[in-house]
Amino acid sequence: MIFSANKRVVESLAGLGRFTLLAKEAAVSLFTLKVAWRDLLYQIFFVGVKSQTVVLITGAFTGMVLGAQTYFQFHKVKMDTATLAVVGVSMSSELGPVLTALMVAGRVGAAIAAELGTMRVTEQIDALRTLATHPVDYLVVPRVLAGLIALPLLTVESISIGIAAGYFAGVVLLGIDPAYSWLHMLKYTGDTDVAIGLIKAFTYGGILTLVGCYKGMTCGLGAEGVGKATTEAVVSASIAILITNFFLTLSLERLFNSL
Amino acid sequence: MIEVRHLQKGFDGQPVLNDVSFRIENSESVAIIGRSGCGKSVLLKHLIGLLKPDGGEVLIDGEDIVPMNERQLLRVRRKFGMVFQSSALFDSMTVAENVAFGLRRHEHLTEAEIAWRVASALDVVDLPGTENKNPAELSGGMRKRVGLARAIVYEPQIVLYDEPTTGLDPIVSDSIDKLMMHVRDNLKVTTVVVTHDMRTARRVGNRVLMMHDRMIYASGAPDEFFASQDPVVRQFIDGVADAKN
Repeated sequence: MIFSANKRVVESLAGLGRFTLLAKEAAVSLFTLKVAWRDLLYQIFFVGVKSQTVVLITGAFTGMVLGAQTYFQFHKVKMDTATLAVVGVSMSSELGPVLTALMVAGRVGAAIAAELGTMRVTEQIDALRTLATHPVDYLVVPRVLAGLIALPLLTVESISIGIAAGYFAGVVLLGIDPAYSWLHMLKYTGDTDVAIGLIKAFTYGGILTLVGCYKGMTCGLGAEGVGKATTEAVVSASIAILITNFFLTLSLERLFNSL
Repeated sequence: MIEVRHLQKGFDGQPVLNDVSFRIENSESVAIIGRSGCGKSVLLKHLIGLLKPDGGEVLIDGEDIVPMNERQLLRVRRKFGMVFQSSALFDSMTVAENVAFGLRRHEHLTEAEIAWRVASALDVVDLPGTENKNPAELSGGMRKRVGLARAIVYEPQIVLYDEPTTGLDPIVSDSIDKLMMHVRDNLKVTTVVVTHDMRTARRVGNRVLMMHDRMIYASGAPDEFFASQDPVVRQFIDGVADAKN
């Protein structure tokens, strides 16, 4: 049993090492490679445009629930008009980027892992290598770059629709005063909240695409291997996003407060 | 020229190749035969650097590729074309895009020149007019031919074939054999074909290497090899199972 636990720890550390090497290879390639615009545009379309529906629905309903819940609590202490301020700050710096990233990890991270995993088990990645093409250059870089570009844009959408939906829930459905709600939202939601949200989104875009690529390119053989890689891509990316979020929240808040 | 020296490889503690050494001259055609699971494909993948050995050297034109990293290997791989057992066509691309892949990545050609080269390669493999088809629409034999067109379109010095006729009917296998001979004779490439099809080995190889017990067991010109009276070689050629099998 101890042997088995040791083996799992060693395997996990080895996996972390391989992931770090892939990230390093992708970073080097990102700065030195001539970008294939056609591939990049397709990936931005796939990661960004095709994720719109899920991101908008998630943002809208999160904004409404947050608005309603905040109102129910604040109403007890006669702070109704602060509701939209809470929605604005929460959506901008936390819920917008995190929920967008989690939803995109489920959709895009899984799809990347399945696609690259299938390419691996059908020897298409080996074929790429025999055609003197580095798999990181051709497969990983366009996907990671697309994630880095698309996630901040999707997050802006999510934040906007979340605040709008929170306004709808608070003002239209629950009868909060619209002018003061809007005023407080503008007063308490600062540029730094949006900046923190966008920096987080950029980071999560890199994480979820890189994890999807890593899981796909290192998946086990056969249909079972591809299935497992797909599941692991979503789970690992989601956990990585949540853990990173904690550290980013602490460090970015301190950084922006010190400026 | 390809030279393999004392190559060793194992997976999860199980040895697959043990002290394998041989040399293939330029324009030579070598068939590597042996029973399923004896390490033929593993050996082939070492020649192009898809696998790293546990020990030994693989020299391509005198340059040892074993210590090279993936980026350094890209330069050496431009000398190679490889046809996979599963064809390994990119299923998100059309036939033309598959064949043109190497050209687009590494040669500065106009679209018209690429289209011409692709059409020529598809002509060689007897698949003219299939440019816009998807790999999923092709039969197994056609996929192998497209794989061959993709491997030869940028005129490599060495072409590797991994079980090119496995899973094909005898008539399609015959056509693939003839294509390999055509490529061998007309493009003057070095050919390495891994197969357990005796007819392919006899027709395509100028020399036959047989793997047995994780090493090169026998080697010789086809006529000499197929006349061998060595019991292990004879058993494989005649396809006779052991009593225990």
